[in-house]
Amino acid sequence: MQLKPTVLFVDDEERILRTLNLAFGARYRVLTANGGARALELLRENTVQVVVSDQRMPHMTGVEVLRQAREMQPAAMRILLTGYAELASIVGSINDGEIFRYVQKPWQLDALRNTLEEAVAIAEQSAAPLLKKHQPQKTGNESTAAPAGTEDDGAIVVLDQRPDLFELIRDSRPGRPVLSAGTLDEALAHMAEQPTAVLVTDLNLPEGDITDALRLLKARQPELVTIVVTAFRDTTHLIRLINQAQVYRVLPRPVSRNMLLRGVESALRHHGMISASPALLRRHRVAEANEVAVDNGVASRVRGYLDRLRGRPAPV
Amino acid sequence: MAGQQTPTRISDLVMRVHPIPPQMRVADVADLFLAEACADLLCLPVVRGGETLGIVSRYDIMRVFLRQYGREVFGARPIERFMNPSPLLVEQSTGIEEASRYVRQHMRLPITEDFVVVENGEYRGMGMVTSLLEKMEQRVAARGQALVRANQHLKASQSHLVQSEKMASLGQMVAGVAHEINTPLGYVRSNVELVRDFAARTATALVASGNLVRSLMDERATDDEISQHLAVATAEQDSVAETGILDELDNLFDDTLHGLGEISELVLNLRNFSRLDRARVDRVNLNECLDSALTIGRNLIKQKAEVVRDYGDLPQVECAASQINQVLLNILTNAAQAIDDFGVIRLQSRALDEGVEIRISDNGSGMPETVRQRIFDPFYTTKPVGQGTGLGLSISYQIITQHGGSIAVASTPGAGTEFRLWLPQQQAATQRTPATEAAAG
Repeated sequence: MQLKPTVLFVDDEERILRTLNLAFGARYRVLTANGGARALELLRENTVQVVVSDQRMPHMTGVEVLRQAREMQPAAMRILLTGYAELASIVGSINDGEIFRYVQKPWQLDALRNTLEEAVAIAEQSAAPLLKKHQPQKTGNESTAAPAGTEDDGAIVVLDQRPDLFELIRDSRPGRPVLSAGTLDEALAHMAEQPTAVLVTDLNLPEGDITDALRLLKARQPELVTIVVTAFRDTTHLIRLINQAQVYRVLPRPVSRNMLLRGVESALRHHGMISASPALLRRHRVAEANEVAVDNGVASRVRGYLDRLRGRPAPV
Repeated sequence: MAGQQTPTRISDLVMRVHPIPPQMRVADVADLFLAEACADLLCLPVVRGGETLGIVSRYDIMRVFLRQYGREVFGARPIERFMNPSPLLVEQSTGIEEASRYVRQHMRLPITEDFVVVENGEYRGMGMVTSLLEKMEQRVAARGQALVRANQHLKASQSHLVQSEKMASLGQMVAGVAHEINTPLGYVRSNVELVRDFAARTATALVASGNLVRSLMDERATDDEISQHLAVATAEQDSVAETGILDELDNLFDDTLHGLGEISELVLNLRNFSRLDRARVDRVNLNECLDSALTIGRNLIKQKAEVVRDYGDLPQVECAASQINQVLLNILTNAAQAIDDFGVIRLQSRALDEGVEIRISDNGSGMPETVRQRIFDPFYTTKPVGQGTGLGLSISYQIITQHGGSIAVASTPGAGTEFRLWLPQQQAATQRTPATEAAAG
């Protein structure tokens, strides 16, 4: 009989653990931990497909648990299940936890079932290529026959009204095409002309909020890694950026030079890795959202770009 | 009051009184005083060639004439023998305040003389003490009004700040309580969904078992039919068993009821904490206030510290409980914020000196003496911009002192901080200053 996938739940409220165990025990092997220390202990002893953690717990926050889980078991998908959306925890869960979903309590059982199912499936499919990545030499076999390997030379597009971010990134990356755009249309034009690895963007553009555009882009082109720079501090907004746009990093504006360059560096590496393996791409699948809700202007512009992209010959 | 824009000088008050020569006869001077033109004057200046020799007052003349045969004996003598040879001289460029100070210091009572206004020592006219005083009074009144305005302005902005501090702590409180409620809500909802699912499966299984029983009782039923019903019933039974919920049903309901209890308690606590439905001043047990503040702040506190409660038997204390709760929550959250990783917050209470003493201590980062001294100052904060108005403790201080109590803090950097508050059992006969109103909002 095939082994059931393993899901680890971390929460300091035992009743939460009990109900989750009952809800998911039939389908998965469920591990429960009432705190960070116990969670790490279980992660050392078990291979886990998905870690679901509460945020506010004594001694160790959920973001910290997930950050360490990422180091210990990179293949495990990470989900934050929390009762109160607080800015620091959301930003931390993006930048440190690199989480798959941010789910708020009280959750809907059906929705959580679907999210977990999706996460487990993705974890199982991506575990093998991810482990391979962590081995020093590559065997160069069939599954990693992606067009661009880790030596990816995709462009960095900086979508921002002000030139400072663009100049900083351009100067720090000689040899890498860095393109500046003031509007979404300009950015899309750049991206249609040149394969793009990383998009650095402000949330507020002349066209308005870019979240919907990011969501559409990410849904159709999951290998695009996005870094959002924003002075805007709205928690619901950031949660959408995780769940619907799988944004890779969120940096507060004014942004520190080091943070930005480190973010870009890590985004390029990440892009190289995920674009080499379709299974890894799925790790950043975005949640379904109501298409009708999307502003038609933005949606049609992004679709126009994506159509042009499809007509483009594959890079050699 | 135009006086307050341009500084008033003595020259504005000067009266051009025609001086009298020193040789003028006393009787003539007396006649002058009776004349209509001099009706307002207390005295007349005696001047020779611009030089002020002295002044002669009605009072001087009266003294002369009140002697026996005074008018007959002295009436023809020159006035200079009866004048005051050292009158008050004021330079006409002098500011009104300085002049007033000088005049007040040197004038004799009862007021029988005015003062002489000179320019570089030369006679210019007379100044009346009464109009000088009147001018001064106007100024004081004007200044008083300006002060009243400034005070009103200050009070308005203070109550505005107190309000925004209240909103900030209210926001913090609501956020914390929302989280606290979402946790039980999380498992209550999940449990209810599980039980609904379970009930649906059980209902299906019941129908299947019913069908089976009926077919068993039915003589016309074929073996095929029976085994088919048996298969369905077994499958449905298994589906119910598979959930594992049957064995856990009791726990599930216990947890759900516990969660609902938690939610009710939190809601009750919110009401107790804000005391919206109570009298403003009430007799309360401060241990209950401590517990109420702990529940409201639990979400923030639990991830930073273990709470140790060491409560004594307390007499009831007369206070505005919602304000005291605000103070306790403020100190508790400060304590939690002072702890870097995970520490201990200790709450002690005891009866002391016709009142109650509460100590709240933490083993957090503590603070240096320079910070400790300023901790109750308005606007003083060590938190980053935007994370505190710097009013929390200053308002706490106000609230406690207005209750006739005391609040003090001791701290050792690296070792922790202890707040010690004391509240009297009885409030002194209701003395409410406007500031109490501001804090009470």
